[in-house]
Amino acid sequence: MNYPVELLEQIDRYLAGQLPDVERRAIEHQMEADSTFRETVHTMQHTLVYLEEAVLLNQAKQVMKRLDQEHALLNPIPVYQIGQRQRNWLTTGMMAALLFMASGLYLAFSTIDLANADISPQVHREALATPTEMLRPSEKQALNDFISANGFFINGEYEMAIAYYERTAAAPVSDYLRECTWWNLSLAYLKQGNVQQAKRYFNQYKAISKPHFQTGYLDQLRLNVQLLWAEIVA
Amino acid sequence: MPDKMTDQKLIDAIRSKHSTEVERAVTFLYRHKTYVTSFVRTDIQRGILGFDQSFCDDLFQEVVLAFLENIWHGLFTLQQGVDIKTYLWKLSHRKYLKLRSSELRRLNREGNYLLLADDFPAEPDQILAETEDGALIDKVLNKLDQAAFDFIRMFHYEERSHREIGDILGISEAAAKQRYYRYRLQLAELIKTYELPG
Repeated sequence: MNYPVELLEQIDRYLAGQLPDVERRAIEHQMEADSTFRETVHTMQHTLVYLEEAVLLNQAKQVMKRLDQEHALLNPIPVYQIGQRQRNWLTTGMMAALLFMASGLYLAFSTIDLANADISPQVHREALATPTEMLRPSEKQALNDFISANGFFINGEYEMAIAYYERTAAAPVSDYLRECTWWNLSLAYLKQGNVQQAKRYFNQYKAISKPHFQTGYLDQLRLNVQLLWAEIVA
Repeated sequence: MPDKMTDQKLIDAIRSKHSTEVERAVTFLYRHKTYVTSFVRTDIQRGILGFDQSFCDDLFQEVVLAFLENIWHGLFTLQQGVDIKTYLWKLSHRKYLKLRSSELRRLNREGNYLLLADDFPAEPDQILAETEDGALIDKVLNKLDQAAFDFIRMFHYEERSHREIGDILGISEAAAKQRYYRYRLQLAELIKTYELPG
């Protein structure tokens, strides 16, 4: 198909319907007479159609790109990168571990309430189910010992506190006061560093199925954690 | 965005090959994008496959371009009980499955992931749609050498004259015309190659 450029240009004008009648007829006549020329015209037409479509497709792409940009912020698909879920699990795990450690530290170092530091004779009497007008001397002594022991405990004199608590625990006191004493004894021994004795009194207290002296769940958890911590440190 | 276009009007607009009409039709088709790419959002493996928003944009673009070519080449005709939205969905789904399995194969080759069983067995209309893939124009143009492609781009896409192109390339207008027709004939040969069966 080695036709001169001028003829190819003329073919393009023919295909675009831009040729005067005389030239148009000349082209058509040549197409009828020369099959190679006819094929060339068809080929030229074919490429023009392809190029026209290519231009339109390119235009369609540009339209869609523009619309994509305009709608970019509307309902985009969330992106998950490879491994992101695993990273999320790792982050969650680390946060849980931090939370666990913070809770442990809080429980290990927060203060546990003493049992009835302000225990009153009235409460004591009710627990004993004795006549309300007076206590027996031994009971009164035990109660006073208990109150004194609490005072020593608060002042940090744990050895003295333990001595007074032990005296109370050995006296004929009510179940209520005895349980209070065991509880406070476990705290005092813990403060003193005698973990075994602390555990012993705490276990005695825990062994009571329905204690008269009720402690909160959080206080029991604190005491458990602090006993565990003391054992680890020791 | 045009408010309403019937399927027939949409087809007529695309067939007209008038720039403004095609633009109007493409703009109208864009409203089906979320529906046509809906399965990407529900694919539980899209995180592994890296199918994000830009993947959706590209997929939809390919589908619309294939649709335009199918109309121009007579591969899609509007019939009773056929609607364009569903047709686009099927085109999109088929393309998506091809891309998906190819991506899974690539990941498998890299040894990072197992090739999972195909969740979506081929449906009869997918197989039918495989003959309507389109994108022939892109394939042909991509086979042209860079100089020929650049010339054709300047002349047809950017609508520059032979004189302007000659100025850019530092050649005369006559030489630019000569090159243009040489490239046109190269393109014709390529089209013939791609259009031959097999």
